[in-house]
Amino acid sequence: MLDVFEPAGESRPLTVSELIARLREMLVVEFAEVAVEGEIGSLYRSGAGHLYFDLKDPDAQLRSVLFRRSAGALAFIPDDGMQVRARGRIDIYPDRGALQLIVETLEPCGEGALRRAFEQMRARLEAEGLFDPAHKKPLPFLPQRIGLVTSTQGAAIHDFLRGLRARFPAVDVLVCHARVQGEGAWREVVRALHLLAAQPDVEVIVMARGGGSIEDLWTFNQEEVVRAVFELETPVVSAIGHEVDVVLTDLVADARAATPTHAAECVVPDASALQRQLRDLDRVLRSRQRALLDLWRQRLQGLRRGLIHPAQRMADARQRLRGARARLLLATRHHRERASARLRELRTRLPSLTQRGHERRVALLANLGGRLDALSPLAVLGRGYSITRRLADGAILKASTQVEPGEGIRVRLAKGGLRATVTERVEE
Amino acid sequence: MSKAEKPLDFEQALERLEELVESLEGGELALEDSLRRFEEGVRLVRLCSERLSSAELRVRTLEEGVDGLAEQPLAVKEDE
Repeated sequence: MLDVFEPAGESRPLTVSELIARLREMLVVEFAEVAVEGEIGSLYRSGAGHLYFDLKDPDAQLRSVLFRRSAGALAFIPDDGMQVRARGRIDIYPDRGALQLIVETLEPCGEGALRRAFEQMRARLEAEGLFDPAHKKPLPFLPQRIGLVTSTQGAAIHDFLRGLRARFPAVDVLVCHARVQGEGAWREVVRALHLLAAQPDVEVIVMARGGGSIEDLWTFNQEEVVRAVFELETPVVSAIGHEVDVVLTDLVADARAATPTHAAECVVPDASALQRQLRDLDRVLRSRQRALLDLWRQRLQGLRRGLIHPAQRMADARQRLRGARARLLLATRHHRERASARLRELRTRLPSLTQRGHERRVALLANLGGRLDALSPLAVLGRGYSITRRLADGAILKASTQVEPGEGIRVRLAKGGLRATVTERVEE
Repeated sequence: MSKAEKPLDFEQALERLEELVESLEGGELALEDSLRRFEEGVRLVRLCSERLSSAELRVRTLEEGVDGLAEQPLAVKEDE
């Protein structure tokens, strides 16, 4: 059996410090950069802000420390029972001879830890206002160019392009490759976002990745990616995983697509629906134009009717006059015929009606005539009297003094009369 | 990449078309004006239709080469 405690040429035993120093030398070089996964246990937060905990699996544990500088940069809050991936270096504390992992970065891993970290980050970023709908930018109706951040090796690019072909094939896509999973993938995604956003004709950016576990999709929960999306001027569509998968970029993006295939529906309009809409618009346009032209034609016809030559107007008037005259004649003739018929009828009825009354009136009239004769001065004249009047004014003379000699007089006799001149006036 | 003439703003074109159709409905327009609007409408319908049925899907990638960023055509397989 080889005696390891007495190697050749090394008779003196080492001091503890020497041994620890030599172990430390070896370990620090060999494990200067190490990544280890395990569950957090016995977590203790010191007053100075350092985190002390054990990293363990069922069979072993490792004392670990996360100094305040690194602890402050954590995106999540570590807790006992959380599965994490730690990166750092191995060191030994000489005073206790204890092996220790000096943790530089700590990330959650494993479904449970990731879910808890997701909820923590979601709450924190939400409180900060990153998911506020007020920050969401409208997507263009039909982008000149679509930026696509995805892995050119993945299935998502094909899904998205197939979706585009089905919906609106006549578009232009600029792809910027980024690893969408694994260590450092977030850096590539952020870089791709910035590169595409710097292209002036890229009017919308789609981030696409197919389905996977929460760990596979974790890049799109990383704060750097979430903040990059938030800060971009160009609108971003997050199309990560399946419908049920929600990542933080879904919440911060200007639109979320359930899958990469669905992302096409967010960024381009439906070409066939547009074709239909265009056809409808075209049809309505033409029918309106026809209706308008008809309207103008009708107005024109109306105006043409109003526009009559004066000769025509005269002829029309003459025509109307002739018509009126004919109607008038006809009406008159009718009237006359009716009247004479009535007259004839009356004439035949009249004699029988009035004969008696008529005879009585004739007798009465003869009687009255006789009585009237007796009163008439003319009847006195018949008996030889005469009436003398002054010629000048016709005054009846009753005294000789009423006339002067030489004045004209006229005398009414029973038959005829005389005109004479007064030669002499005889007094009494 | 060569700068093409200003591309048709599809959304604006559609909005303008709807506006034109609406204005033709009124019958208040002068004949001349309505004819002008009709012609503009027909032209927009044609432009939009052409845009809809124009080019194929065009896909390029943005890659960093020795001269900085460059666009390369991307051969995308038409899977199934």
